[in-house]
Amino acid sequence: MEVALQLVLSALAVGAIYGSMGIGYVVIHRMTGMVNFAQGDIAVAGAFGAVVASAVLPPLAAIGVGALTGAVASVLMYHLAIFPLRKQGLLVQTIVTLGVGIVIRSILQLIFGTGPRQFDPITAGGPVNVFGASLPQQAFWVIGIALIAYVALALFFERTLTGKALSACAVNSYAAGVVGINLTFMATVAFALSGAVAGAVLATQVPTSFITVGAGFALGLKGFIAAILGGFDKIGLTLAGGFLIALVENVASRSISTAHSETILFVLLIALLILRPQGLTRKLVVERV
Amino acid sequence: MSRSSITKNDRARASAAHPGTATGNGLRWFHGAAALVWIIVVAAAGLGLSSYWQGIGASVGLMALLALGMIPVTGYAGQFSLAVGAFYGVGAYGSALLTMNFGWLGIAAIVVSAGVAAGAAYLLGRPIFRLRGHFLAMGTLALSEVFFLLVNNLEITGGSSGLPLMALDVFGFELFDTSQHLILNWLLVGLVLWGCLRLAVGREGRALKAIRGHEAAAASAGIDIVASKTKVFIASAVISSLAGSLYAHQVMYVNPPPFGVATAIDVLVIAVLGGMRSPWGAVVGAIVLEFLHQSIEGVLTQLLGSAAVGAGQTLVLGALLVVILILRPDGIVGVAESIVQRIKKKPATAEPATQDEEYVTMAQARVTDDTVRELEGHALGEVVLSARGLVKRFGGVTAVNDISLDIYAGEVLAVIGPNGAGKSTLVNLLSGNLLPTAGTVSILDEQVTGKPAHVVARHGLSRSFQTPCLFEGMDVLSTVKVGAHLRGHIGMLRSSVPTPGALREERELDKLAHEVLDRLGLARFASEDAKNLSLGQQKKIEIARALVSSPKVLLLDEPCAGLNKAEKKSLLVLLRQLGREGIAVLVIEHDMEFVMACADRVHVVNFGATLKVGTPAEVQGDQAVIDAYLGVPSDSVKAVDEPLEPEVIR
Repeated sequence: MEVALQLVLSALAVGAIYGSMGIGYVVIHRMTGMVNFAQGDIAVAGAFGAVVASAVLPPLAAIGVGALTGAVASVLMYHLAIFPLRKQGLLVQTIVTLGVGIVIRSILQLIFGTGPRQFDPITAGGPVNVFGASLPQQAFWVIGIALIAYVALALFFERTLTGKALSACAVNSYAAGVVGINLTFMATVAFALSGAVAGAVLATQVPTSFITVGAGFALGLKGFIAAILGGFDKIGLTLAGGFLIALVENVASRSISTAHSETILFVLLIALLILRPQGLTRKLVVERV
Repeated sequence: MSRSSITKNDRARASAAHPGTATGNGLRWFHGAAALVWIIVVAAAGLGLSSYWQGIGASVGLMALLALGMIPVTGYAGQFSLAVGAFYGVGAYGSALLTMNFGWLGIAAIVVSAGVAAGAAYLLGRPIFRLRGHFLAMGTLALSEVFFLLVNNLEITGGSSGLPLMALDVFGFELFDTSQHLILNWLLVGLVLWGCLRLAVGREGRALKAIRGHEAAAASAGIDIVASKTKVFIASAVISSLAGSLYAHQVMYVNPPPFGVATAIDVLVIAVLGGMRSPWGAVVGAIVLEFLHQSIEGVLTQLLGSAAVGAGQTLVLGALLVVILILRPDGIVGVAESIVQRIKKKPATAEPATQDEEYVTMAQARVTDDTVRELEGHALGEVVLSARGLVKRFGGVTAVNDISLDIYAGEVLAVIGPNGAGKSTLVNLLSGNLLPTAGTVSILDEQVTGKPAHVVARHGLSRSFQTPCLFEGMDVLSTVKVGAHLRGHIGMLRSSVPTPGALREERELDKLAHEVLDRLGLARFASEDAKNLSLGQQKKIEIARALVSSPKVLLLDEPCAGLNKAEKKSLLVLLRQLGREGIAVLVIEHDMEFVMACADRVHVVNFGATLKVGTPAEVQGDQAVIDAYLGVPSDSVKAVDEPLEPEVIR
């Protein structure tokens, strides 16, 4: 029982990261219809931004810098690489994000090397005991910040004019352009939000474990599974999807082997694409005209 | 005229109009000479280079081979796949395991590994190709990573330390020397390059490009999109696996790193650098990238220190990908082609003077046609297409509400109605481009309800689209030949290895396409890029593409938009002729003069429902129709509207 609770608790923390990575995909996909292959690397850039900032700032502020770094990296990618290709179609735009991801990763490697980096947790002190299972205090911050990001995004999409305009672009960007919505501005907002959420949550995770420059690739793939589970549309289900993946990963590494747990996850990705591309939602997003 | 003379005329015309097809003798010579030059150059490189450069040459050859596997999938069909790393590994590990652990012959191991790769491609491709392109990219990226993790963690593959194996033994002849590797690899590159070039101008290659250009239009031409994509994905898997087997035998050792995502990205950079649209891009890209690597290595060492060279090289690779896509998405070969075209560009052919014929109104043209029909004793034929109770709802909006119609062989049925009445949706339901919410469609008494567009096309239905759906970067002749897809049978393999049968079929398709182009007065545009022509001409190309399949029923969605008066009249004459030939024609149109002169019957649609069906004269005189078009006084709105729009917007 305690073991099960421990697995669930730590899956909550790790799942918050996968889920927020997935939210990053969903926000961009809803707006532009594209998949951002640089998502994982942008989040890692955010985490390293926080690492650098933590030298002079308290942890919470450093995480704010991490969010900002992720947002800036994401917006720069949009304006420097994707915007010039807006007439080229989704295929070319998707390929270019792959290139941007590689560029970000190798720049980080040139600056920081391949070693692990860390900074202090937001609140000092030992792990919290929850019914016999224990969880580091920082993990609660991870979960909390992911939830705050989710609520903020949900309110943004539901309650603000900009958010509604963004949703309109998702339904029909041409028509949205015709009624006077500035598509470039909307895309900028979407990329900024996507980078900020993924960067902030990953940065919050850094004090509990650590971050390396190569982490983006696997994080990107796992976040993608979360996004599939959310049907590439629903941010709440994406967050839930992130938790499910983390749970599968935890159970697999405990009962099968740590070496194969990632293999199992990526096989799950392929299986989902083949068998249930709509994820936890009822209808496939591409058919939902 | 005897059969052989038709063929000969036709061949001359085809090769004159479209030099890309290997029809004339001169071209056959050219191909032979090119092959000979290739062999001589490869042999000279294999024998003349130092063994250091031979080794590099051999590995560049393998990268070119991998890129050749990517180009038909990503360049032709527009599907972004990163599975090349995995399939490359299947070949390498398959060869290593089968020859060393089970003592198989090298050749047998190569074949079986390629078979495994093909099977995996089929199982993965068939379901994923139903989704949008980037899902394939992620799925294949995951596949490459799964493969890497598996071989890295499993005992049977030797984990991270890998497996040794022997040089390839071809019937007792051991390929041990780097010069042999270089020659073998580049001869294979030549062979696959040739196959890809042939595929590009063959029936299946055209289908792939049509899919990249416009999926709905390709499906309406009878192309089975999922099957075509899956087939080319399998071909790509086989090529990658073959390259992997050769790699394993040439290096005589396999370990996980060369088969991860990094290789897939290397190959992507090669294809993008060289140019995705032409298989030459693979060859040029592989060579240029190797030169770049060689030349920047020294610079990077000085700039960043030797420890950072790896990251520096990846940085250059990634930056190269981004910069090339932004500056020239068509790569080096694209640049070369546009330079060649600028040099070759001939002065624009002058428009032939329009004949000064006596001015005839559309109505008069109709009278002439009616007279001919009477003389011929033309009667309406059987029902070709029959729809019953068609309903289509988009969420809460009912676009088509219980429409039934029959189209008879030999008649022109016009569907008219105000904007938003559901006319185009109706055509999409009939052609299988949309699934009806309720109701049935049958063609010649065979049910086609709910069948996809390419299956409906096989029942003899052709269509055009309201906004022309032409294929990017395709000339007019090829665009029309896409429409003749169902009149050919040559598959992917025979498209890329042109057998005499495949060449004969291609000539026949050429002839069919030229006939239709002549009939529509488009012959002089045959070699122009279809997307560069005027709207009216694009509309006509669409009609040509629909006609070339010799359909039993033809659906035209606003064919007159963008046409001038004279063109409309010639379209009218054409449609009347098609009717006389026994084709059932349905035409959506707003031009009432055209509709009244062209149609045998008119079907009026308003708010998704049938308002009136009758002869042009009956419809013209109908008060409800006049009201629908001109509006009604507000006090009578309720009486007329209520039965018409029961559930338009909820």
